[in-house]
Amino acid sequence: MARLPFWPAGTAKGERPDRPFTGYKLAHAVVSADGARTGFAGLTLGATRVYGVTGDACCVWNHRHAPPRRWCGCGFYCLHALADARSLACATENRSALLLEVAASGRYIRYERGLRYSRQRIRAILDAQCGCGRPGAALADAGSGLIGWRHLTPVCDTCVRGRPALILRDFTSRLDGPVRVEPLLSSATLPSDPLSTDESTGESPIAVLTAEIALLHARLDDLQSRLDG
Amino acid sequence: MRLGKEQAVGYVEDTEADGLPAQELTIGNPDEMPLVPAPEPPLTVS
Repeated sequence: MARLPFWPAGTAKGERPDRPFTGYKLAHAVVSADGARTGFAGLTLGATRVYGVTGDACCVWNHRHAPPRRWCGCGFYCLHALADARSLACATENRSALLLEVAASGRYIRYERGLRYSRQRIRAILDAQCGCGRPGAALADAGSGLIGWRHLTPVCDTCVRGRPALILRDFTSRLDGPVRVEPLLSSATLPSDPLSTDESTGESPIAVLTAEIALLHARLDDLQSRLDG
Repeated sequence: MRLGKEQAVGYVEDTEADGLPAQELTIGNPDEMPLVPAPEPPLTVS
């Protein structure tokens, strides 16, 4: 059967850049049932497909056309701007996803904010955030998955205690190609534990307050005893 | 993911790839189990 043409009718002939696009996207980390391999799963349209470091898109609805097809939603997706991807990661349903930098290539449709494209190579993990807000230094079982693959969720140094998990470098070492792990962007999102210490004295403000309340109680007891006497 | 208005179509080679073969993982495919090296034939000493 003849393949449907990729180029949409009435459109100027396509671009031919000399290097792949850099894009940013979110994906769930997954580990195989035996723990030997890791990969990525999409968030919405590609949520049931697992891909590795390099991959070619295929349409889940119609295998007779090559992604990306204009009137179909198929193909890999990425955003041009890192800020847009970080914004997307704030949504509740995306909190456990990894933020990735990718090289987008092959056939593509370029939009204002991003690309839909046929071939992808993941370059780096830019962020992984624990549910508590700290940077996710490791990946633990998320409690969900696909046949043959368990979803992983980022966990911080504190929340990982007592849980089986893969540190990010172990996760990337089980991928089918090299992927960098960058210093996690969420490390600088919020000040870490700002109430834990008083900057001037080094003491916890809660401890100071507790001591002052105890002193006040002692003075009230002393006053009461004098009145009684 | 909303990408906004379409601006262009095109094709680009991944010129930065270091020659690694493409590998697509699929779900539930026993053919894609980790590869195990074949056992080497025993050495014969004469």
